[in-house]
Amino acid sequence: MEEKQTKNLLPKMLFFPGLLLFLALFGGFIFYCLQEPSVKAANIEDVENAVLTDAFSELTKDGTDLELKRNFGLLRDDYEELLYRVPVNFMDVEEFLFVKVRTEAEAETVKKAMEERLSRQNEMFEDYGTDQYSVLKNTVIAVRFPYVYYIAGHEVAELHRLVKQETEE
Amino acid sequence: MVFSSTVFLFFFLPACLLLYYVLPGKWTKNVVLLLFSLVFYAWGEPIYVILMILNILFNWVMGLFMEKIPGWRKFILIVTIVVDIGLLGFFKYYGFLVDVFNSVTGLSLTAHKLALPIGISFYTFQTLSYVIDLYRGKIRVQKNPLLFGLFVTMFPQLIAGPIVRYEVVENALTERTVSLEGLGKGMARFIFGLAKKVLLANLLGVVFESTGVQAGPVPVMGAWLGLIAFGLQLYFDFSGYSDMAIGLGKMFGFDFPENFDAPYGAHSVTDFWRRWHISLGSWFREYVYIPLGGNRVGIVRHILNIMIVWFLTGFWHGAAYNFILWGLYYGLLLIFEKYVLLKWKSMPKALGSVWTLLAVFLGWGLFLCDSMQEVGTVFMNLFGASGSGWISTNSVFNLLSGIVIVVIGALCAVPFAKKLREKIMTSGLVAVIPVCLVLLILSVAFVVTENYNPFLYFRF
Repeated sequence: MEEKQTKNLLPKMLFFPGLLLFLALFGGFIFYCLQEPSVKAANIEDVENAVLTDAFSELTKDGTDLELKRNFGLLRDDYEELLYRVPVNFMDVEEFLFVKVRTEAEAETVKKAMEERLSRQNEMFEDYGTDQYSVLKNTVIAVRFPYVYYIAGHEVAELHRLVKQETEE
Repeated sequence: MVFSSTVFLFFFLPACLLLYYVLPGKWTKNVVLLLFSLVFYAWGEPIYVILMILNILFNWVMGLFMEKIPGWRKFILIVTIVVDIGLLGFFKYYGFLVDVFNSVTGLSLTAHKLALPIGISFYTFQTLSYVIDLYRGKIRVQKNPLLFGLFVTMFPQLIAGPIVRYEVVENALTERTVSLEGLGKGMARFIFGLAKKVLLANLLGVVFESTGVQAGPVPVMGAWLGLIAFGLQLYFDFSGYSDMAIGLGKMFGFDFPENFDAPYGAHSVTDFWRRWHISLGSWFREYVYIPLGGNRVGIVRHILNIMIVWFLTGFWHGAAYNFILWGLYYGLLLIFEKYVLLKWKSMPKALGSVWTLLAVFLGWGLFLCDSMQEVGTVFMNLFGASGSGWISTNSVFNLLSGIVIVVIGALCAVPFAKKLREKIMTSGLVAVIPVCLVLLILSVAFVVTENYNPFLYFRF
């Protein structure tokens, strides 16, 4: 009789600690997922080597200071380091801009310039460039201080992965 | 990993089948299937396999507690549902809910972008069905974590359904027949599904993409071509995936429920939803609609029940306003049919088919979009309000280059095509082998050479 009572009590005693354990595990997992990975010091040449996959290097070329100014309204000398690739074919939307900034304010300025660039690109291709427009929908604009980057193109997911590989712990 | 990838077709599936058939004993076969399922899931986003395993353990343990503490059954059920829905809600709807909160309050909270754990909507519904059916006494508790894990993770149905309820596979987890006949039938079904996906859905997808119906102003003709191509693409994509899942299940000795029954042959929207994504519809009927009272209530409450179910159905498909609108649109259509249209008993079947196709394809206009802005663009295009006119050189070009595959798609979507497939499948090896070989060779050729290979339902 006593043994039966203990047997019945045991699950009740275990339920709440078990539930709490699971809640803690789920909570810990969510907390982990919400953590921004910490940024590591990236060498801009390594970033360039990483993103210049066969396809991307074929579709893009080095962007000039003039193109940078025209497309983003930014001056290369204002920033610590900068990497810019523009499409070889002017009807393509493949584009990559990676900027190392010194301050949060600079990061905000660059991010705003990138958003404006994307908005203009969307307007330009909205009416007739179906493929380009759908590619632009996946454009990545990210601030991972001190880096700010803009990635547009067919391989955006892969390029983003490569950039993260070079810049995140 | 997707079924129509070279990695799956040439490495993963052959290795899994080989080990499964060579190794003796049910226990070993279950372990093989479980391990391969975990690898399959972890292939794209390894981190989320941890979430799935935790989820499995949680539901399994809660099931055990439910059996051991009968007096607490209801409380345990509620806790389990809250946690399961909470996890689904967080990982699927967190970003959307923050956006809604910001737009209501004017605040600007930032949501950390999380990748959607693939298949979470499907496996959450499966585990929910387990705990609810256990509470209702319809099934026995599963004491073996390996078998419970296998029920949830089984790779054929893990990431895009059909949503397999525990009671369907309860016996098969321990007692199933693994035979060469089942392997052959499963392979044939898999090949038909693969062909639907690769030879029809992907090519229809190219036609749909070329029209750009949601991207900007398009003439009316181009917009309707895009809409029809999308509706057919979605059907062959998802029903092809379901065929592959059912075929894989057969190869491993499981009988999964059918998920499609020639839905475009329906004579009403109500009938359409009995034939489209059947496992989802029956899940909502069993676990939401009937507990709410179903149709055994007053008219007002019945209408409310329908709208709740369809709001949830829309929201299940995606964390966006257009999916909610799509769900509510179907709620209204079903209410209209129930209380107005289907009272007209003598409505000719042909008229019913036209009404159904029109209603369903207009619904896809909501479904294919990523935002409400795109919804506006699509419907302006469809009804000639975008200022692009009725026809253009580009839309004629798209029509001429896409019409053949659209017509083939339409022919393959009618009920006769389903009957033909069933006839081939039951007419003996002499018919099955050549047809399957041709379809397999063509499909593999496309898989190897084509880049465009998305699975539309993976995002749900």
